[in-house]
Amino acid sequence: MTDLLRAKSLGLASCGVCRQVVRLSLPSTVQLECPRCGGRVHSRLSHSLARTWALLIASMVLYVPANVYPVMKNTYLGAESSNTILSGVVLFLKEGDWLLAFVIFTASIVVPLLKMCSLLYLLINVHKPSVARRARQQTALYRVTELVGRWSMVDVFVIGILTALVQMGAISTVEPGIGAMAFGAVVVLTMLAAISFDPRLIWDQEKQ
Amino acid sequence: MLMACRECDVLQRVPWVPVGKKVRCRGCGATLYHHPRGGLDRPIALLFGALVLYVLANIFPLVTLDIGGATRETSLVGTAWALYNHDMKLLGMLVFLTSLAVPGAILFSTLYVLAGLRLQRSLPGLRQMLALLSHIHPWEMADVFVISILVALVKMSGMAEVIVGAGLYALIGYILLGIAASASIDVFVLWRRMERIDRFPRGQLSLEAGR
Repeated sequence: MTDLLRAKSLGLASCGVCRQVVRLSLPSTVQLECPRCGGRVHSRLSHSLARTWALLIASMVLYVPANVYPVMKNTYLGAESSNTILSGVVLFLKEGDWLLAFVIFTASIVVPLLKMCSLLYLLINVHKPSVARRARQQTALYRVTELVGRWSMVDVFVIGILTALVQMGAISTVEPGIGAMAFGAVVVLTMLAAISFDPRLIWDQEKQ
Repeated sequence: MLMACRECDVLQRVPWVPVGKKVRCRGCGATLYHHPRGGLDRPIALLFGALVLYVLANIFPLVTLDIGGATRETSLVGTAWALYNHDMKLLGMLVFLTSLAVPGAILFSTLYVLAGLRLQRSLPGLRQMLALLSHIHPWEMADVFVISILVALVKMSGMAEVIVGAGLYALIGYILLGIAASASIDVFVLWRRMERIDRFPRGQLSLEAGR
């Protein structure tokens, strides 16, 4: 594997949009317009780590209100109840809806936590020299993180659908809670964090 | 041709593979590109079908709720609107963008790009459209929305009568056709075709190169 050359070491970079390989002018940090598609060519995404850190920390901060505050308020025949993400899952379990409990638990709790943990892990380890096998695992981890992120929107959509449908005056109403807002922000911020991270940085520290 | 992997930056010479084959990175194993079957005609046909179903999914109600004769129905835009109206303006906009606007934009711009390439004409804004597609793709969440409807349906089935509308069937069909279409599209291959249109204007292109 030692005969593999990175584009960066040859002063080349690949366009992020159309994959055209472009020769970078010196110094290699200068941004360049792609001759084929007109997009910007970066050898590495600019300020990738700083941006990912900032977005990740912001999403971690918002993860607290997203779980503490209710995401949904339900009135049923005059009786009010409000649910957080976790109490919603517990409610499904109590009612015996194992499948729904599993879907919501995975999309709203496992996926966001997994994303935040794996980005944190990648950010901490990106500067450490690693062997090819390890770098490959980290790249795979990044790929999964980027792929599953959008599925945490399930809860936000469910709250929207229930809010739109369950407006039956005195019988039953559903209102979105402030936690839903924070949770939506967590989803967007973690997705932006994953997009800002440049997986090519993982390979820059590879041990030969 | 020369390609650098977007995940590990390994520079490599890659062959132009036959239809149905894909090329993997020598460094990390990521897919560099795949040469889809069916040329341009297959994704165009699939996306036209998807377009019809997308329009139907927006016209007809997705779900109707019936509690003792009092009914209420919702659509894609109705869901975003409900959040917007309940003091959740940003959340409503996010739902509008991810469930309706971005899927629609992707559908239209993909069809536009494919039509331009099929007709071998450099239609205005063709490149910008194709470049836009790579940027907005992660924000397309119509498939997540369908799963959410199913979750909401089960949740409500205990307290009211739930009627599945024509819109939901159309939405599911739209997503299935969309998945099939995106499997028959590779952005890198589209850029190569785009390059050829510029080099050889309409008429000068051989049949072989157009396939």
